[in-house]
Amino acid sequence: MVHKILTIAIAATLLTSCSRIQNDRTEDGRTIVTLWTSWAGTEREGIDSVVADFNASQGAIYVRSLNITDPQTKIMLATAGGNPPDIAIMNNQFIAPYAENNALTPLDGLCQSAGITADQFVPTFWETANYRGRTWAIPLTCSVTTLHYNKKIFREVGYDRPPKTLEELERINDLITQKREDGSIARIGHFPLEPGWWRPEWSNWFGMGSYDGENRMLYQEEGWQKAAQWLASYNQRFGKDELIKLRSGFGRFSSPQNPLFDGKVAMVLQGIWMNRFIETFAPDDFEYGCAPFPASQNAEIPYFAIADCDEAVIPKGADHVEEAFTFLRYLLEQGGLEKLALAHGKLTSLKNVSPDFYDDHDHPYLQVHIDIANSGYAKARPQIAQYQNYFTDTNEAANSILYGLVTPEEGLAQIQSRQQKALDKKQLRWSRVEENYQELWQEQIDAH
Amino acid sequence: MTRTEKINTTKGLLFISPWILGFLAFALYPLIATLYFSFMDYSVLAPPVPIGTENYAELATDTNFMKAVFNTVFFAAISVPLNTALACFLAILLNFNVVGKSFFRTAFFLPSLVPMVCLGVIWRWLLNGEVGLINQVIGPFADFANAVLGTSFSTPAWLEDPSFTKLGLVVASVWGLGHAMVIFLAGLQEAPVELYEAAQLDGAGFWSKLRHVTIPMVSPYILFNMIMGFIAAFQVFAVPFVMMDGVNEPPGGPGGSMLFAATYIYLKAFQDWEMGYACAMALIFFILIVTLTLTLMKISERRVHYAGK
Repeated sequence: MVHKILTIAIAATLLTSCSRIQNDRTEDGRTIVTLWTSWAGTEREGIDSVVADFNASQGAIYVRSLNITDPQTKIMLATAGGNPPDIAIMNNQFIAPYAENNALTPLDGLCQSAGITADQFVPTFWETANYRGRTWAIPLTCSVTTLHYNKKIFREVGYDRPPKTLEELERINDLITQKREDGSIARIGHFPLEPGWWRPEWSNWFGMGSYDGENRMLYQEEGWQKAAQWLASYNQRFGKDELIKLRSGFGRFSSPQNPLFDGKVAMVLQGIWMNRFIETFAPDDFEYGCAPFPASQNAEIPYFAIADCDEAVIPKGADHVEEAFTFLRYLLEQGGLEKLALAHGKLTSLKNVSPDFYDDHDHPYLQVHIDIANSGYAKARPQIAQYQNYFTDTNEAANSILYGLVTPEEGLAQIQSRQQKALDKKQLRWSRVEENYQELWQEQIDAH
Repeated sequence: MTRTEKINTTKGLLFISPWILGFLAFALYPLIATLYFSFMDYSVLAPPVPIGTENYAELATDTNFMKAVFNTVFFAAISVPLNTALACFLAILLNFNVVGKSFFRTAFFLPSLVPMVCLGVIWRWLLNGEVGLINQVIGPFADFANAVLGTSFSTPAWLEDPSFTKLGLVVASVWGLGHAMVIFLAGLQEAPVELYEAAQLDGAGFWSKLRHVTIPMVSPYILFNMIMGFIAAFQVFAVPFVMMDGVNEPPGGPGGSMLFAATYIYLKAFQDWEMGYACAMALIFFILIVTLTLTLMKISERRVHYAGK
């Protein structure tokens, strides 16, 4: 009887602890480094190829990549559970929430030892990896947004060049927009809700973002006030019901029914990756151009672009920090990042790339994107600890203002109150933990 | 307690121990943890920091929370009575002895087996304002009315117009009434035939029998389905979340018209990482559901007829 109980107890102990007993060595004794990415399709092929190159280049480390969906939640849960991957790829806007919650390994010490410095990177992209004075990530493949416009439709209304100001863009918008007999919209020049990825950032085209970078949300400032008037002008010009109806007929992004491809919308804000989707889903005779998305003539900037990066982080509690960083260093030093960027159809975060990169890149407007990235007018989304809350809430506010569900004044007052409260809450929390975290991070940096 | 009773009790406890363990680990512990974390600032990633009743104080002034409460109660108040009535009506129809009875019963039950996420995707297409099947069907009627009456009806943009989003969800929720229907059907078959015969001898017609025999006999099932329906309606999440494509579109739908309690709890817990705040909200909804259930039980005491009592 005692033997039986003992056997059951041992089996139960083994079963419950097996999540941590992972074999972290290959048969030939190489350390296994786990890499989580949400890249799929050709992007997945790109990282797989780079990983294979790295694994073949040396005999001490073996990188095993795993494809996951909803990376933000999964990395959070794995890190909270104490069993994170050694490297995770995440979008730049999530660096702040993760760092603020002490869920990442600061890379300052490792970067310094490896000779990785800020001046090797395009400044806009490097900034996205830094928060609260520390470096948390290595920016990998990056992009900036540009105006993608349908050249055929432009020619139809007598334009052979992209607009130079937002006001001109709206004049072209009015020329392009066509209504049917029943009043419904058959085609629109530009629709700020399409696509939905950057709606919280429209105030930047009027010269000011949503966050001052310290302790104030800026929805009541001039930037958002003008942006809200601009958004509201859509329901005044085209009609709420007509816009709602138009939008409900838009097809999925990655399909031939994408409204840009099927001619329902003539101008959209999009990133460098759009070329891949155009090649795959747009009709053969689809002609498009890329240009800087112009700012309002009253803003002090000629145009604005949102800089986005996919970044590599080492979550807190990762088992093989040094080995993980060796792989990241390989990406930066051995041309791995260029290979990855070519597979993704994007830019690299590095300032200097090989001449082959330009020759091999298949984007017809590559130079436009490179120029914008280096112009100083491309900025990342705000580094803010409550990013997801900010995104969801501002997204909803922009929708409501555009459709006229609330007046610009009401909408902005409400969101200012909500987001300022959310920011204050995070600041209060930070003040409670700052001292401990800074000390802890410094220890980790010194250890490397 | 005799020796045999002791042995039987031990055996009984042993047999139900998996359930007891499950209850302790997956119901009682989470409930207590929810209460504990509701007084904490807890992001899951970092250790919880005690903040007293701050979360509850914030909830009292959170306009999104009020919106979520309103939307949830509005949806529950329309969908539960409607679905219960429809399920009861369908069960009565399917209780008739007609040819192909089994086929119809299966056909009406089948939609409730469709997984929630699939249901969300299907209804997103069915309710599409421009190419959706629902609008394709009602469009000609609106055109006819406009031609004859000179009105200007147009088909609604179900998922884009905040005035219609919740109604769209109510329509979609009708698909899930199969379970309630089967329960009603079981209740109807339990009703003693003698009662119907006696009613018939007294000259009762279809409606009199329905009102004085059928409904009293199925009243415990109505109560059960109402309670289960309200609990489910208060937890509605997957279908509206998928219908709203909660990734790039605001998960709360246009104007926050589809922001339900469970959606808001999910957003706070897993997107904003405010687990403490989400726990406070979950607890309030738990209390709300328990209160509603007890109120329903109390109100129905005199109206529900249990056979044998």
